[in-house]
Amino acid sequence: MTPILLIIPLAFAILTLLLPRNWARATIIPGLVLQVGAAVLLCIQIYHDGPQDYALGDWQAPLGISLIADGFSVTLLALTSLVAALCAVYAQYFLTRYPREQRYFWPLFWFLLAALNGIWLAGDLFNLYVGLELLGLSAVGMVALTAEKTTLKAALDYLYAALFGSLAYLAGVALLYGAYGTLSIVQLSEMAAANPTTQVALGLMTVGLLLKTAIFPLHYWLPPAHGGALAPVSALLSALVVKASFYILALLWLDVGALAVTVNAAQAMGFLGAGAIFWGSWQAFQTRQIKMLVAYSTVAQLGYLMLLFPLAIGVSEAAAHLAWQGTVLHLLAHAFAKAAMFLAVGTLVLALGHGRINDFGGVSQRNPVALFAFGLSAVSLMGLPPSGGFNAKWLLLQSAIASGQWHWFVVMVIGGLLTAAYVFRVFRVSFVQTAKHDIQETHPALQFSALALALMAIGLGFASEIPMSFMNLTDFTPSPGGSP
Amino acid sequence: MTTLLPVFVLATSLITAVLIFVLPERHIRLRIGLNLTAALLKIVLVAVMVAGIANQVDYEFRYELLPGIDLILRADALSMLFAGLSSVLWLFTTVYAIGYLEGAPNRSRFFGFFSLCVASTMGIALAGNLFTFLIFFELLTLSTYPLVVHRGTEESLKAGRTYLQYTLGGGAVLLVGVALMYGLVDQTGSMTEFAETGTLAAIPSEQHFTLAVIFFVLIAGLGVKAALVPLHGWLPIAMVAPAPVSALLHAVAVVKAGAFGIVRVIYNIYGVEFAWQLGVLLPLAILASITIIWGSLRALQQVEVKKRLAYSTVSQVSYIALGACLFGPVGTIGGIVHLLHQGIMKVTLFFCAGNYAETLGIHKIKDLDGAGARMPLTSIAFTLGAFGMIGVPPLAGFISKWYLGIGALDAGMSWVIGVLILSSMLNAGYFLPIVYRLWFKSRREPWPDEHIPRGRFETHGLLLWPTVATAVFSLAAGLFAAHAWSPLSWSSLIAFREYLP
Amino acid sequence: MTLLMYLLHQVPLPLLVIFPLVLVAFVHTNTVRRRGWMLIAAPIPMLLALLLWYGYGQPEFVTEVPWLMLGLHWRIDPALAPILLMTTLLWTAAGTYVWQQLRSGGAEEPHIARYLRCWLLTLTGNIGLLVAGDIASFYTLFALMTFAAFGLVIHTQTKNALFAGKVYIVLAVVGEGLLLSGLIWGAAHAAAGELTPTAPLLTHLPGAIAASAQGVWIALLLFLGFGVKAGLAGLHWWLPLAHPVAPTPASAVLSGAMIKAGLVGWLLTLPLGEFAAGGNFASIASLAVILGLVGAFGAAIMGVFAKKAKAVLAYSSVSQMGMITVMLGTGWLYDAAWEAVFAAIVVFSVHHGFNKGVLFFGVGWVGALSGRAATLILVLLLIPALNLIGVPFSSGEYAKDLFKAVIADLPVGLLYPIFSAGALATTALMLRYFYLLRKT
Repeated sequence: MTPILLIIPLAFAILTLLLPRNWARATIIPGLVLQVGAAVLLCIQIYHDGPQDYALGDWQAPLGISLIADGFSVTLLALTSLVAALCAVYAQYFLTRYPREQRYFWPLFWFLLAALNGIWLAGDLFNLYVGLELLGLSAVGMVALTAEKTTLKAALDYLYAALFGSLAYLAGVALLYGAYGTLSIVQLSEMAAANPTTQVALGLMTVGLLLKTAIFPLHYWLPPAHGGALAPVSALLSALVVKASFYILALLWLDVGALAVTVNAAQAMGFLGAGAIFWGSWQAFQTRQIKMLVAYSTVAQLGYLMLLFPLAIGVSEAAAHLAWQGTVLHLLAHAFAKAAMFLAVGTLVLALGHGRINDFGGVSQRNPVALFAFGLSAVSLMGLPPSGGFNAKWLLLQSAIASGQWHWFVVMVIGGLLTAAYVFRVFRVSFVQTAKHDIQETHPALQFSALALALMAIGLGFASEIPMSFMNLTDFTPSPGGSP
Repeated sequence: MTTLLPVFVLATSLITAVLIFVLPERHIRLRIGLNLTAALLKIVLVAVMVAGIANQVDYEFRYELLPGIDLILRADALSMLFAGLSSVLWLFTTVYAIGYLEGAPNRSRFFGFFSLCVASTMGIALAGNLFTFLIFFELLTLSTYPLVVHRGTEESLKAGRTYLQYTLGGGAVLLVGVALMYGLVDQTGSMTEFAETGTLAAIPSEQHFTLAVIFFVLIAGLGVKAALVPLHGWLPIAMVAPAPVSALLHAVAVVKAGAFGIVRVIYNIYGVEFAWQLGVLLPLAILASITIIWGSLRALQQVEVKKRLAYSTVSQVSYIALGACLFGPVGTIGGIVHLLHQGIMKVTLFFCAGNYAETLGIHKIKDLDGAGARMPLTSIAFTLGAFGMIGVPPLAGFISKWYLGIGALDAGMSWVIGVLILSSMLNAGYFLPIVYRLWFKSRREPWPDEHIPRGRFETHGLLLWPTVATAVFSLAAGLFAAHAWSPLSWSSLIAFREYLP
Repeated sequence: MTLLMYLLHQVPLPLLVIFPLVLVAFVHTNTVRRRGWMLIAAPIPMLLALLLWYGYGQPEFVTEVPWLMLGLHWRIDPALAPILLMTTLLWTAAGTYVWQQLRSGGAEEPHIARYLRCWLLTLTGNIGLLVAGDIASFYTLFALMTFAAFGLVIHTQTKNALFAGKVYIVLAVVGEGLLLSGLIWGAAHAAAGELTPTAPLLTHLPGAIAASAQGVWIALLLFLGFGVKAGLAGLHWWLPLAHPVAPTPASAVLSGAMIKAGLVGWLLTLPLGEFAAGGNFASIASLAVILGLVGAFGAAIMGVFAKKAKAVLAYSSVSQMGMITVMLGTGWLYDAAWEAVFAAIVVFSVHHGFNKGVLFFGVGWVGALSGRAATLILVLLLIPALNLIGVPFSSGEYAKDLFKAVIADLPVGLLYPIFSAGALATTALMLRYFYLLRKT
């Protein structure tokens, strides 16, 4: 069952690459249905049978390629399929204006999906590297789709960042392999000790991944790339792609290197996160372009993910558990909300013909659904109830209280207010009645796919139990360890 | 049925909100029909529940949101008071708003958020624990913002920004308070459930300091919406909203949500007896008293009708907090009954202010000269509301003050009488000149901007009748105060249950 | 007659009180001149009921409506019934005066409909408060009277009238505030221990105040609160301002009937008689005596320099009320003598109400008539004037003698001659009154 999730996207990637344009379009819907169906089936299977290991071609670790499907990975798989499916629906209508880009969008889309699925399922560090490379390349390709001067520059920056990040990561992997002779996550987590080699390796990998995740202050490439790309691309990148490198980072710190990381290092990661929250929010508050606003919002929101490390390392098991749950929920909620937000913003920009926030007057009359989707996703981003974002924030706050780390508590509360500050800039102008120029109607599918994602972000507030029950199926629980 | 009824009550306005959003702008009749049907249905459902509560039926709906944390919708006597108020006033303000916004743009959005706002107040009324309360409290912020900035003018956008700064800030503080409560005190989730007579009395004394701190954090969060000085700054500025919005905001929605929250925290979380022992009630009572006096003083200085009413709200809403701080059933009755009394009186006053503005273009107090002759029913309603606010019997406000006064004496806080009387005099100081202008000054120049000519009635029927109805209510609430079905009797029932051992 | 008897027992008091309120609804700007009769009709039901009640030997007459307000309890209090009778008669007479004015085309003022409405509202309050037995409804009607009378004071809308209205309303609001705080404070003691205090009866108030540790303060609040209405020296400023500017019949009821409402408030709520035993309230009682004397003589001095006949009458009212205050204070100090003092106070106030009313009407008559008719009126006005002074065989003498008989036996020192000297003050005022009246 498990490998199918890799096979489907790869197969469709090749199909869309080879088939003529009209045929390629016809394969999208069946492909999405297959992909979502397979993800759901896998979820059900895991739910009933528990986590599963799968050795590709029956080659066992440390040599073979092993896939691990546990509660966490299937949750992410399901998330990926859902978000990607809705983005694809959106892209189908959105790209009718971009015939040339459409040609290359779909193969890249499927490669991206394959890379993501590969990362979620990977059981060893090298597979993760492969996934990371594939992901980076397809993402850069998607950013570069429009081939405008600015986006090309952004794509190039992104490419350099991705390559450098991969290199740093690879160096770390090599060090670890040299030291322990295996790259299997399960095996490494038992073997890796707190020695300089491990720590240097982890450090290298962390820097690479921080760069790829665009954590402050290594976020410079993200806003132009995410803000400049086509709307469905931005949605995919912000919602899913950056999460992949964060996922690996979390694996490294909490599982692979659990015995090697220190509390101080974890706190340092937290400070990076806090920096991201403040800097990203401030930039989002300053920018004039709506897509840049959303992109900076991603920078800020990624900061919350970084709080996992100080909140889960070197604290009581209960607090770590809360932090872990909160982070996962935040990851999910942000994925839905940010995808919805980019799609909604894409629609609004399409309708207005520009992205200047201050000239958004009158948009509420012509595109109410898109604006509403933006609003709902903003609710989740701000961490206001009822939404997935709120539940996540709640759990993180509880974790901070439980471990007595009041500085993170304060950071999160202020972060929510900062988010409100920049999000409401958009609402504010949308209430201006008079439009400065013509506003076009947009296809309902564009508006409603955004709304569907936004509703998922809100609905997650009522259905947090589902991902959490899956999380309990993971044998990958944060270790309370960590030497001081 | 007993589990789903609270959900239905909530759903009547929530689903209406969704349907109105979906309905295109041009389906005016359908939207009005939908809105009014839902409002009437809600009143019927609330009435059924009120009858049930009186007969000790439990209405409760539970849904686990997070491990150990439930979303609880539960109806008790106190929640029905608030739910009853908001359902009845929803009907009236909706009728009023239909008349007020006739022909205006964006009505779909307006009525959608209007219903959403009522749904939030309903959720606040029915919330069964702090967590649920917080959810609807924040939802209220979100659903009222679009109403405040509805006009989309530069001024209203600015007001909206101030409104958000205050309310989101307050929401964040409340979140901190609630999170601290769950994280530090209540690991099981049962102590933050609202229970008659409170839940915290059994906490060991070494945690009492923490509890006192959390109390003030919660009050600070709630106090923004309840417009406690110095957190009241948003309220007069939010006056730029259309009149029905101001009416709803001041009478039930926002300020009442804050005041209601304070009552909940004192009575159903801490328990008034425990809070009294903790020593947190006296500071709050002093703060509320300062607010009462300060609001009245500021109201005296205002030259615009709506601004004056706004500061009056600042002052009047704190009576509720003050009543909640008076240890003893009589003070409790006074505070709780004022929740309702202030609502109907203030809604009347705002309707009147809206009528003057819509019919004659009057915004400034000095332009009100002789309006009594031109708009007698509106002016009678205003006079009744104003005298009620002053606390002149037999209007509703008198009953509140009477109980607050006696409650203060029972609690051994006789200085509160001074606050009440001083506030009454200040109220007289800023309301009587208006009443005087209405009835005793004669009109010399034409009205500033007469939109609605005198027809069969002095103004549009949809503007007039809700005004008259709420004025009659504020008279009846005082006149029939001792009747078994009066708000006062219901408040006595609540107080009785709160003080039951 | 059994039918009337039946009616007396079945017709609830509230209907009699509410009747004028119902009439308010029928006042319309267009028809108001033909509806002057309503002012006469308004107090008639109460008057008839009261006469019947006297006719049947003053049976117990109580109406309780527990669901109205904070529990309505209305009764005819035998002790205060004379004041009630005086009040209704005075209102009827004053109503007749207005009716006559309207019929003869007088009262050309533009706001005549408002005037009639305020009249009826004031009347409701004034008559109603005399039968209200529970604190809440008593205060309600008191407030109704206070605020509605504003419309009578400023009716002419002249600059002076507006100023008088301002002073009146400020003092009234202050008075209401003092009053309400006193009533609430007293009620809290009267209702102590009960979970839901419906308003206690007025009759419970004196005992509760006497039993309270802060009783002196409560009593002081009530004394001052009602004092505004009763023209207590220091709180009387509105009287000489309001009376000259108010229409004549309004002045008559203001001075004759409404001013007594303050007195009735004192009589009903203060811890007098047996409750004053032990001298707990001696300080306030002494204050009452002192303020009463100040009022009685100070007002006379001020009144002599007044420029208008009605202002003189207003000062005379302050002066007369000062005497009543002296009586009250004395009775308060010597609780054993209270019964007798109380009777004297009631008689005095009825006597003052009638005579002062007629004197006010006189100002209007003299102004409206000329020649021989005016002279005749002037002569006839000597009767109430002499009554007020208290010449032998007058109601004034009777009333004063009742009190003098009481204090003759008390160790009050100079009070007796001083009180007797009050007649001089009244005489001076009456001389000034006739002087001004003759000039017009």
